[in-house]
Amino acid sequence: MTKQITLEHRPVFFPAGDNQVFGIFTPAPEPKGPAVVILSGGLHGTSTVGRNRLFLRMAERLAAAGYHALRFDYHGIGESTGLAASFGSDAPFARDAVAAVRWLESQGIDETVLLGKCFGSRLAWAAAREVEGLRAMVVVDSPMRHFGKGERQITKHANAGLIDLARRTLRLHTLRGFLDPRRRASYALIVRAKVRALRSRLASSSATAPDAPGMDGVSRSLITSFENLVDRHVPVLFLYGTDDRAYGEFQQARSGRLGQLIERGGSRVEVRTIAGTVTGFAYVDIQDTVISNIDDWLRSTL
Amino acid sequence: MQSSPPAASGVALRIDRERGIQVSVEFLAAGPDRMIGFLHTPLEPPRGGVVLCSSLHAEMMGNYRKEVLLAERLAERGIAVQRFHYRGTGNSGGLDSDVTLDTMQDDVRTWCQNLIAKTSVSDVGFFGVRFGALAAAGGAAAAPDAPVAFWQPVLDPQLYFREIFRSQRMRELKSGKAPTPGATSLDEKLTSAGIADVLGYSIHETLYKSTTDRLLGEELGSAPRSGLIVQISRAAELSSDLAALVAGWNDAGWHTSTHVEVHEPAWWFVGEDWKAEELREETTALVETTARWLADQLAGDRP
Repeated sequence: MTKQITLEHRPVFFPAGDNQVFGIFTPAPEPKGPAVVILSGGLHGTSTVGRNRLFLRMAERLAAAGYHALRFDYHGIGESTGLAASFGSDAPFARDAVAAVRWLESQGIDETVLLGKCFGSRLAWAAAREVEGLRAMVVVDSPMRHFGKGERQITKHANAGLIDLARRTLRLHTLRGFLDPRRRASYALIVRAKVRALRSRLASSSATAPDAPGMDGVSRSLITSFENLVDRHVPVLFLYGTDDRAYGEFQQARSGRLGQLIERGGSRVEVRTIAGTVTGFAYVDIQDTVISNIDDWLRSTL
Repeated sequence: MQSSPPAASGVALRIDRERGIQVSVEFLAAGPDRMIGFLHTPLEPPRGGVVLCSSLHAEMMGNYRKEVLLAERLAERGIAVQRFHYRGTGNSGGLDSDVTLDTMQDDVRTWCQNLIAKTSVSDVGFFGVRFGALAAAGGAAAAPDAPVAFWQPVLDPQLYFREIFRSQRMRELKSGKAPTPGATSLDEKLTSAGIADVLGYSIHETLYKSTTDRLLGEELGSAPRSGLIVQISRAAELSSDLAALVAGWNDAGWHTSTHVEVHEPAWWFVGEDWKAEELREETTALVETTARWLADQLAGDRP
């Protein structure tokens, strides 16, 4: 007979810079391991809920398994104060993630897992170095490079080599696009992004801008963060859907420095895939599979 | 200045002294029956209260920040606002498969009682967005004099669900995905499986069936009151169905106001052009128009 567990959900406000961030803390009735900070990829709504109550379900599953869970709204989102002006830079939001960890520490909880999905995984990479008691990291649908909301394709083209970009420009499909005002506008964005990328590389050519991707398409800050985790022997789970664009980029990136680090991490670094698309959590059955994978990996790792 | 002083056990409190408002967050009840509520109040005694009824699923998420901003604006105007998540939704307890229009309306009435008990207001209004208008109607029907304000209300819920399902199938076709095999209509899908996955949200037969023969106009009852209808769409003129609703209300002795906000909201599809709600002109217009109207109804002179 399955034991029915009654879980508590505690609403909290905690400081993050000048803002008050709203979160819900779900303590594990029988704690067995670290607390999990859930970093959503969500840009709207409330990250304490997520699509189809995903983050509530995730928190309950984790707490039932013995891991306290904290989910929260980034500043400017949901119930939190502040203005979320742009998602192009991780820094303001990574501060929210670190603030969440500090709140847990103020509650006497010193060991943490960062669990980030898409944009949230970027924050996990950015915040990891500041989390002394980091016991593990889970990144779901983690992009390999930085881009603001709506800029994925644009930055992908902009980061392509000049010769490759020229080849693409001369394709009939691309040339036809010049007749369409919308596509012309997106071409202009690509050109501007390319100029920015070139300027950034020229400006700090000896120590390239941390967010700029290397030749393998992976942002340097991600590599630096991952290397730090490998050095610290922090287990990492990469979880992707086989149809995710980010997974394609990840596979490409594995041929470079990322792959070397995965090798070096040995059994502490695991890559798992789920058939289909994890991006956006757009399918209910995949939501359940993601939760199960995370639960399973934490139990076997910690 | 913002502060979050220690509050009573289980209550999270945030005070904004600059704006003269505060929000307290708590759960009513515990376990699967728990319901989360967000009570926005002025620091001075409020002059009236509003129960704010969200929509469901993607619409609840998509409209969330706007509702927070509306609640805060009303509190600045001296009006207490009770927001909440219905049982079986959001951070409240319970199964989503147990949600019906009746449980949602029960929850509205529960939170209305909480609002009155916590703030001692005597005048309460109801606000509903999209599907939330139907829930708000249940609360308002029990308070004959209460003003109601709706953003793009759902008038016929069964039609609403069928449109959502069609959108899902259109999206599948547009993205080049093979349509989910089997049912071609929501009725068929729900009858055969009891549940439909619509853009990652579980739509249950229980909720769908509970809306059979339930129309907004009838849910509100016949007692005349004051009403505000806000249309949010690409059209510059009030749609024929909303115009008919308003005409019916006027014939029944209501005092109605309308506002048209020309804008195409992504109720179910969040687009790539994300922008903070505080920076959107249409959000500012919606919040100001609605807050002004409700504050006038509750704390000003009524016609």
